[in-house]
Amino acid sequence: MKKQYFLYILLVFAAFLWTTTVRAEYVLPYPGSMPGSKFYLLSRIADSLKRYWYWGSIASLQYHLQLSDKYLVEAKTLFEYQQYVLAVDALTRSNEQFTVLPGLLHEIEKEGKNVSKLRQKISEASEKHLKTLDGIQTEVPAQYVWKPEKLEPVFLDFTKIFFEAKQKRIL
Amino acid sequence: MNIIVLSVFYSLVLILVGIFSWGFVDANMPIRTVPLLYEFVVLLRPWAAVSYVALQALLFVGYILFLYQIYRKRMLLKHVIVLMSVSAAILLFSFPGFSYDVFNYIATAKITFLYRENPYLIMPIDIPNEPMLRFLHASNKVALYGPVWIALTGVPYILGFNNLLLTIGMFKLFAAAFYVGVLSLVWKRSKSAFSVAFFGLNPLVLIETLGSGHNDIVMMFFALLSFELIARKRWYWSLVALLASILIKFATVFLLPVYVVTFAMVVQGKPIRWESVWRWCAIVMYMIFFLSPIREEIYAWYLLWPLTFVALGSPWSWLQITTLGFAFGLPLRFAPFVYHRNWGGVTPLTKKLVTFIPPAVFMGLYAAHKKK
Repeated sequence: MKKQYFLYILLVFAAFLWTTTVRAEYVLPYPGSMPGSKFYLLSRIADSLKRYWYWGSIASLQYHLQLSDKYLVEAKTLFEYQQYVLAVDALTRSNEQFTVLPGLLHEIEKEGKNVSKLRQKISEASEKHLKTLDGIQTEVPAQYVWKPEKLEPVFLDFTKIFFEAKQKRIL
Repeated sequence: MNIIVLSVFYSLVLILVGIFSWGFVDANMPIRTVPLLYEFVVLLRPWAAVSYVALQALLFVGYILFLYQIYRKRMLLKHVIVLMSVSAAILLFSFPGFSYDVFNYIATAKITFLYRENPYLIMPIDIPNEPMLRFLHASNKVALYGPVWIALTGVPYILGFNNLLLTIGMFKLFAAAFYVGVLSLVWKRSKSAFSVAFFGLNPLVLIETLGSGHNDIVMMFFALLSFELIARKRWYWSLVALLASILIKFATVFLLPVYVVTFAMVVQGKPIRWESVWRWCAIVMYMIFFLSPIREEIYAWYLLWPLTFVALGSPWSWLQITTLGFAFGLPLRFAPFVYHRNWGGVTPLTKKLVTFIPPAVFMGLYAAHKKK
């Protein structure tokens, strides 16, 4: 009987040992319309217009975070297709959107709204963005010269570009 | 039966309904109730369910007796008005315990006017320090209603001065104002005390509008107003009223075909058979009423959609009898919840039975009566 009790207690402990904490990971969206698509311009216009729909400080924060995510995914896809100039443009837009988040968070807090969940969300987004940027950076060269047919060559310092992008996401 | 005795009886039953409703105050609310009432509703559930059904049945019997007295011209419009005023006054002091929708209205108004956030994007749960989250049933939903409703809620919300009890009172008073509005339009179009009483004394209308403060009355006011304005040939304002109605709860979009035909006939100078217009309005509103389970379910207060137009029809028509059946059965959908305190188990089946059996029985009786 004692042996049975012992086994039972052992099993309970084992169950606790094998329990792992499951947490929903921050998920970036699918890439929407990409440059070159007929709908790309419409998508960009819609992004600008949505700003008026997302009124209110919390909604505004959601709007900027969504755009930052969207443009980061756009940049990642463009980097994968080695469309570097377009990719850098998308990444710059993503950076701009992410930069306004801390200010908005402060504004929301000043309005007396509890920001604990939002702060956590932004922190998770920052973590995910940094991880994504690291992933992209391993796939691209440190520097690159883009030579369009009829225009001046464009020098792209990816080390600097990624450094700045990461700096903007460190909270 | 003596009208005064009947009126006193009806008012007493309404007072009991009002007292009973205070047993449904959520324990997490910053509102105090009589502990005995709370214990009666929570601990003596079979008795609470029986009491609820008995009160609803008594109110309905009283209502039918009133309709009969009015039909026999033994009760005049002034009596109806006095009785409706007394009923409104009693129910304004009741607690909206049979449905928590008014709290959702308040929460949405708070998101919009206090927190200045877009209620179509921001849910109450997005503001974790919002005190209403402790008892709100739809804290994880964005606004369900149209922009006109949200704009209108600014009035009762602001007049509530951020005090929950006062805000509830203001929302109920707001619904009461539109209840008066609908009644005055019913009177203008019908000039019939029977029609006014059919709508105004209906226990379902009284409880769902003045007790629970549902916004359906506001939507129906603007819908009816749009037809009134067509009759007065004020086209532009008529369209505005219909649009306002649609942008409150969307259901009245089903009125569009009837509205367009009526509009065209008035423009062409053709005579309008209003009786037929109301019948078609009632039928299309019944269509959306029956389609509501696609979205959620047939809630008791949805009956206000067809009932508003049914009231304007001929007394004791098949449409009125069917509507009376629904008006009797629909409030009973809440009874299994009072008994079981959950919406699962046998509750959904019971809800279906009480919704459809009474109108079927009423129609059967009506058919048998006609055969005689």
